[in-house]
Amino acid sequence: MRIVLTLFLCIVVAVPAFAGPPVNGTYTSTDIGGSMLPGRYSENWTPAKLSVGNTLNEQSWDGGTLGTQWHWYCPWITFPPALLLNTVNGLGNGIKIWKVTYSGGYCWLDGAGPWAGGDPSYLANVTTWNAIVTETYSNFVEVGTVRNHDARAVFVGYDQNCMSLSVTNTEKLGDTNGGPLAPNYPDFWNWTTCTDIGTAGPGEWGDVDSITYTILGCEPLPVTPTTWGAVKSRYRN
Amino acid sequence: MKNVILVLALTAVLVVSAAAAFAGAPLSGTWKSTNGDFDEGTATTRWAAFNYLATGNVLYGQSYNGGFTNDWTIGCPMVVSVVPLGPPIGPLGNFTYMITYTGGYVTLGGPGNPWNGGDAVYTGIIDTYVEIRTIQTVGGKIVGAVSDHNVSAHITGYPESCVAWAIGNGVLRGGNAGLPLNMDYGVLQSVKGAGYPDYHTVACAPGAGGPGHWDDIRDLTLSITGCAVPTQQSTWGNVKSMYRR
Repeated sequence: MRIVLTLFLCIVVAVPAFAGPPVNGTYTSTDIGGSMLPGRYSENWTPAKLSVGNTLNEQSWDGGTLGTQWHWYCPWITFPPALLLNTVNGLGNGIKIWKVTYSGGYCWLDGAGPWAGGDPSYLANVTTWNAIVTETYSNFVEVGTVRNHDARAVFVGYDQNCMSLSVTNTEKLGDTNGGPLAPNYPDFWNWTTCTDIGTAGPGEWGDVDSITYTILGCEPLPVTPTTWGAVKSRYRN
Repeated sequence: MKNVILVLALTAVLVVSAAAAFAGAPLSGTWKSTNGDFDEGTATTRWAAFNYLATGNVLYGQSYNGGFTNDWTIGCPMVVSVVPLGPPIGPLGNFTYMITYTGGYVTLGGPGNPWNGGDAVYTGIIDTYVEIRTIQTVGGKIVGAVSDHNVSAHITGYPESCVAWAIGNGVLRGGNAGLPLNMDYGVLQSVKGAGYPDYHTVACAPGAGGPGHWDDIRDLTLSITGCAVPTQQSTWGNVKSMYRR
């Protein structure tokens, strides 16, 4: 009887955990006509911008609360960024473009998002994360930065083909050289423990928008038909 | 004496004319569309050969705020180089390209803008224009793309040191069928809306047909420097002495 009860509890617990994969499709952010929330980001510096070890933290923003729909966290800069273009002249005016490669990190999705498939939430391991960082300088001072991000991730608990692709725009709005982290922007995270390390920084922050996010290859976990007798026989000694 | 008066009069006319055309240089500084300093905008790119990623494509952008405004235009830089920064575009994934343009001009409206120094409009000849574009494809179709744009230009009518440069984000909103892959019209627009400028030819003539694609342009940062014209204090006596025989 105890075995039967244990089996029953296992089934009840397992069903909510992987009730259904996220729904395949391409989702876009509300600023470009879709249903997915845009967001905000912070990047923890170790110890300066574009340094190896800098850690990203991006969260959806609904105008009042961070992270209700999605949270992408802990990709970190793995190699020194590559300078693709530098037009900054002797007066310190011009533009620099960097290619930045990140490693690791996670994508968390709220189960009630537009991709809702039955689970309370979804987690994916980031397998690729790149950024193109375009900086503009005036008199040797960085006065503006825009970024493209692209990422690929594989969902946990489903087939390896169950994955996501994303491209986004971001705009840097400030950094701790100019003052503390602005209110209502995501806390800084550190990749070594992948935890929230607060608001002190050093680091930068900004907005995330123009999101195109595709989920593909996600199918319900296969169910093998069986009989009650077969289940009992697996636990009979 | 009559000749002297005539020369002085003509000089005055020329000075007045010049003042109307170049009433004042744009102010030096840095401004951001995100701060509301000036409008964001939209852009179209006319394809030379039914190809989203080809040389010969011509871009035209204009500030837009529910209707086109005169804060800025980007007139007709043409693609001269398309270089993948990783694997070339395929049926599934994210693919990044560096796209280099040549030629074209920018305009910056004067009155009402924070850089206004007196001219109705400032025109700049584009010196450099580079776009880094990351494209997402699924099932052999383009479902989205984001870009970093940057441009630099020297302003005509002012010293050579008078330059403007800007960066911004772009996001693909729609386009025609073509190479290297068709667009997914379940996600992107198939018809260019009224909020996007006319396509322009290589000669920068408006009203051209497609094919092409269209983008929103956002998150702009504009800087201007080196435009102030040095002035010298003078007296009327000194001016007269310049024309005295």
